[in-house]
Amino acid sequence: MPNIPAIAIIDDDEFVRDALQRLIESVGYATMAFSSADEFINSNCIRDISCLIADVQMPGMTGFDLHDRLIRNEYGIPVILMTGLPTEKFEARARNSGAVDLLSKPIGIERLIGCVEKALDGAAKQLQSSMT
Amino acid sequence: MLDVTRAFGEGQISSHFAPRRGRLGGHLTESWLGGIGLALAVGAAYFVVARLSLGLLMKPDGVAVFWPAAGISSGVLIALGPRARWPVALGAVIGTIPANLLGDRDVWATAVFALSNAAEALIAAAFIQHCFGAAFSLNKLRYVLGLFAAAVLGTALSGIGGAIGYKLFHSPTTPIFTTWQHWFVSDALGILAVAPVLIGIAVAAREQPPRNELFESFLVLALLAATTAFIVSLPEEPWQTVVPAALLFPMLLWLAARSRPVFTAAGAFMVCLTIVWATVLGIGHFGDPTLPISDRILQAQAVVLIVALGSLVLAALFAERRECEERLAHSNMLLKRERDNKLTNAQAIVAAIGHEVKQPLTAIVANGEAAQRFLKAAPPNLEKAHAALGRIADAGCRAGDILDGLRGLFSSGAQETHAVSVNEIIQDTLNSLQSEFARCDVAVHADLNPGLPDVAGHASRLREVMTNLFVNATEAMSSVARQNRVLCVGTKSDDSETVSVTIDDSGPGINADKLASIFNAFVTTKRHGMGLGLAICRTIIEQHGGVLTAGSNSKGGARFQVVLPVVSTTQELSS
Repeated sequence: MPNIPAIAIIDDDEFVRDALQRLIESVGYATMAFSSADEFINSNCIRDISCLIADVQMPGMTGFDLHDRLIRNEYGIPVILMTGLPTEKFEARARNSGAVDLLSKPIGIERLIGCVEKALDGAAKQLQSSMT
Repeated sequence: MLDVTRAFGEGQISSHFAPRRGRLGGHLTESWLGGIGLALAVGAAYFVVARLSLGLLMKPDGVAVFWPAAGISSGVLIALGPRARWPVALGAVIGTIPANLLGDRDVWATAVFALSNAAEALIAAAFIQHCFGAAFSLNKLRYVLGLFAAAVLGTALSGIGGAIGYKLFHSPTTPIFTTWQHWFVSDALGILAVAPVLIGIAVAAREQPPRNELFESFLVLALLAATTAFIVSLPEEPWQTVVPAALLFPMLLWLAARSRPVFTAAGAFMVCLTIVWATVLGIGHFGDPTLPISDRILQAQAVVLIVALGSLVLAALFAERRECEERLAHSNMLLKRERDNKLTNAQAIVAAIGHEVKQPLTAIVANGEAAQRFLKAAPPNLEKAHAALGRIADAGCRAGDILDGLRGLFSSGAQETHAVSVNEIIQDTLNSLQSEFARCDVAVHADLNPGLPDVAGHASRLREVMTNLFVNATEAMSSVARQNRVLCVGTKSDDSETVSVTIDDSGPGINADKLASIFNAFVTTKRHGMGLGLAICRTIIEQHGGVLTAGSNSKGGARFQVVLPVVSTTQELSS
């Protein structure tokens, strides 16, 4: 487990990606940014990631698809989803798939940091229980 | 903004309502054998009915009071169309000859009558076919009036032949005009009473009525037959002039209002036949022996005319009304569908705008929070705060650009256009997407014709369309192997008036069932997003007076084609 938790940000919009990266770094976490789910999967750094923030609407694989794939492959990375088009359908899907949260853009920092902390806490507890 | 109405064209309505050409006539007359069979059938029917009618001879000139045989020949010919012409004429001749020879007519008179009877059907049917075409029905008022005119014309002309034949070969003492008058009236009434039933049967054979309509109609017809028989057999009383109308009219009205015209025609035919029969055989009111036979016959003929014509007109008016109702319901449905579609499009556009604007907003909020944190830190990280604030300004500008673009897109006012080079626009767009193509391993082949004329338009909007189409193509190819992702862009000018751009990808292509609706909002081949892009692209191209179409290329991928009008000399001067 790395000393500073690394958080991956996946969004096809360069502005959003860059801004979220800067924000998360300002809180004190390490970040990695990817412009698509494919790029993230092919990056070989899945193991180094403690938490994932992914946009729902992306070309190719959507945020939901990526989350499903991570679950299928038994990567226990907590996933925070975000969308510019919050609908009840999306919210239900996010809840059912076990995502940490579905954040509606633009994202308030309190909620984002809250989600990240909750995700990292959960991941740490899971790790502890698997070690004992 | 979307082309919803074009999908349900006039064609659908007209094919639904237009009467189809009769198959029946084709079957019966396409061979010699069929023709002879038809001639014999018409001849036999003509003979039987003519014999019955000749039993209703009227003194002093010996013309039958009612000649339904005329209705058989005319009705069959009108129902089957011009190809049945000669078999039906032959049938009228072979039916007339024995019927007359078995009576008191000599060979010459019989020959003249046979020819007159054949000519009558030919004239009446030719008139109908000339005015209304081959597929004739009685579901319009003008068709009913046309049949009335055809009956008058056919019988008035054939009556001349008949009257001359009478004068020369049968009864030289009878005034020729009287004979003509009787011939005319009895044949015309025969056509009006019988032909509509035969025409209606042919129409019903082409378009079968539903079972519940058949059941109801036959029930009312049976009721009508029973009532008619009852009325006719009633003893002569003063109220007898009112009761028949009061009892029969509701049932004829019922048929006219709820069934197709053939049933009304059948009902009217039944009533007419019963009245004539009662008149001649001296039964009930119409057979009142205290009145002279000529008065009774006139009365019967008047009633037959009123019943037949009145019922047919009523049935036609109701049929027209039903058709109007059907059309109205159909157009209401189309209108509702179009309105729903517009609403859906409006919702989609609002959602799309929201989504577009939320991206820079997200960046602004995140950068703002980050800048605050960098400034609050000890010591403050001024460099990072500065970078974050710079990005806020950038994102703000981008949000403004998005809104400007959308406003320009939906403003209908004529905005200034310029002569723009399509090749330049494509090259610019390809350059701006270079990193995207590289990221997705898309090989781009551009075949841009250097001699391309300029088009009149807005470079930024056309760039928007090209960006959309190129990004769509790139996304469509995400499912194929990386080495097989090829985007081909070609421009050419087939004539001096248009420039066309063809964009081919090597993706899986567009399903045939989706092609028609791919430009509608919310329809997308992509697994994410709302598919609004193509709807907006088409709107932009249409605002330029051009066309955007989707299809497939020879390699199975999707092909989008943009055709834009070139800038005309007058436009060039003004810009």
